[in-house]
Formats: sequence, C-alpha cells, structure tokens
Amino acid sequence: MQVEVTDIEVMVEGEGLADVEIIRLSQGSTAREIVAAIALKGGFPAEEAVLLIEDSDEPVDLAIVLTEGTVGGKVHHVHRAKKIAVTVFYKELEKEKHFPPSARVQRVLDWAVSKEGFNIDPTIAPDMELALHDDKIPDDQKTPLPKNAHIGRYVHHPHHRLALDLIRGKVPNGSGR
Amino acid sequence: MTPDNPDNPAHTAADADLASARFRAGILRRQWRIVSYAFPVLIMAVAAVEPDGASSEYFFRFELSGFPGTAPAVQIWDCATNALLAANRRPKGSKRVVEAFKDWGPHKDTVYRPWERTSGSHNNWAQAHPDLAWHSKRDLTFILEDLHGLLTSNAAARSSRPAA
Repeated sequence: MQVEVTDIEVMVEGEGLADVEIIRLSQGSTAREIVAAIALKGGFPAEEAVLLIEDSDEPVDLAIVLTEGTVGGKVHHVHRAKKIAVTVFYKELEKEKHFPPSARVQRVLDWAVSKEGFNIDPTIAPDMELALHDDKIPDDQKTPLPKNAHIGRYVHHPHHRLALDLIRGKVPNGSGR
Repeated sequence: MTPDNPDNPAHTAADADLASARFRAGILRRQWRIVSYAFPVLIMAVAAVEPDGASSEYFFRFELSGFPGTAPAVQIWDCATNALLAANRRPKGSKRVVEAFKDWGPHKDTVYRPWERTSGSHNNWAQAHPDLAWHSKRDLTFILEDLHGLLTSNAAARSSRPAA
C-alpha cells in the first residue's frame, strides 16, 4: 500500500526576504531545515542564524521535528541578529529599546506610543505610525511601514540597529496633519 | 458585472491574492477571515477593537470587477441584512477611523480611503497620498492591512497616558 507523504507548510519571514513566504518541508524535517531554506534564499550561512516565532524573544530549539502542532498557526522568522537596537525619533526626542527581529512593527509602535515610550496623548495615539527614519523628508511625505512586517526585514547583518520615526497617519483630505 | 468565470483574468488575480502568504498570514493572526466569495463579490470580516477595549469585527463587501487594474469597490456591510451597515453602527474612535467609515454622500456609500474605487478620486485624495492610493501592483491584503490598522487603532489610546 502506498503511503502519501504530506509536506508541512511553514510561514516564515527572514533576513533577505521582502515579505512573508510559505515554504514546504517534508514530514520529519527539523526546525534546522527552516533556517537552512531561508539562509539559502538570503545568501548567508545557516549556522549563524536563529529561528524565532513572531513577536517572541526566545530562539526555537532547532532540533524539534516539524509537525502541524509545532509550526501550524505561527509565523516564523530567521535572522542572524538575536536582538535589534531600535531607536525611535519623535519631535526632538529619541528613545531606544531592544527587540527581536521577529517583532512586528505593531509591537514597536505599541511601545513607542505607551507610557514607556513617548507617552502619546490618547486622542492622537490611534493615528500614530512608524516610518523608516529620514530627517531630510517631512513627516507628511514618509511612507508608514506595514504593521505586520517583522522588523528584521529592515536590518542587514552585521548592523543590528534600526532607526524609525513616529509619525501621524493620514486623515482624509489631509486635514489631520 | 463580470460573470463568475475562472478564466476571467480579474477572477484569477483575486484567487491568487486569496492564496498568497500575506493574506493567509492575516487569517492565521486572526486579523481577518473570508465570510463568502463568489467572484466578483468577496465578503470579509475584519477584527476590531472598540473604544472601550472590547474585541469585535466588521464586515466588508468587495466588488472586484476589473481587478487589479480597477480598484476594488469596498463597502462596510451588514451580513444580517445583506445591505450597507447603518451609520449609527459603524466603527467609532479617532477622527481617522470615523472619517474612513462615514456616510459621505448620496451614491457615495463606500469606505472613504485613497485606495477605494469611488472615494480615491474624491478631492484629489489618491493623488495627494500615493502611498495609500490604488495601483495594479497592489493586492487585497494591502486593503485588509489598512482596514485592520484603522479598526484596531483604539487599542493605542488605551496603552498611552490618560487624556489631558
């Protein structure tokens, strides 16, 4: 009797990738093979990289066997940085905090508007966005980063730093700027 | 209206978007879900956070004829009545949220965002904000990410300091 072997689908972002991707690995593969697949795409040595779950801080044990139970329902991240020093600029102020490369832009934004960040007035906090730091471009011409993007997407080894601007999102007719 | 024909390029393009990793990641994160899909009409539910912090969701009707060369027409929808959601039941929050889902005039019953088919041409809205305007390289997830960002933005007000 022929046994059908089903591939495991893994949703993953990583160093060198522009967006989240789905890769397919054989049943019985280990987490190490997720790292190897992304390292191959990104063009870096797999042994230097770690595997993280979206928005979590601790690397995954690369020896675990991939099953729907271990990788299903999760977005993963592969990167050579374990932590990224994120500096956020707002008006004349700046604040820094370390995040894993698997942190979504939303997680950094949540910190930036919070009491631990810039303590933004709640009447404008819902309008705030993050953009790549550029002091030559006016805030109203900056493009907000997608909130689901992992910050590792914007960081290139060996520079484990990211500079962002906290800006006000667009309101219809430009009236909210 | 475009017939439900899988050989239709717009139908093929919409199907491809619904199978993409970014779209599926949003479902996995419980940010949105498909309620129904019979091309050219797609009904989506998008997760929301109300001003009191309660979780909720809103429905949106996408009309996808000519997609992606033509921007989707997107209406906030009431699945119970299969009609536009009543104005008094629309999302509440910051000005940006209220403006996006307002009733903005007779025969202008769509979501009010630069990427939307009807409102994008209103008041030079799309030209003024190209990073939110529709073009044929955009995808459905771009719209869903914008809607989800607006609908959950009330959470930010609750994590920052008390209002002055």
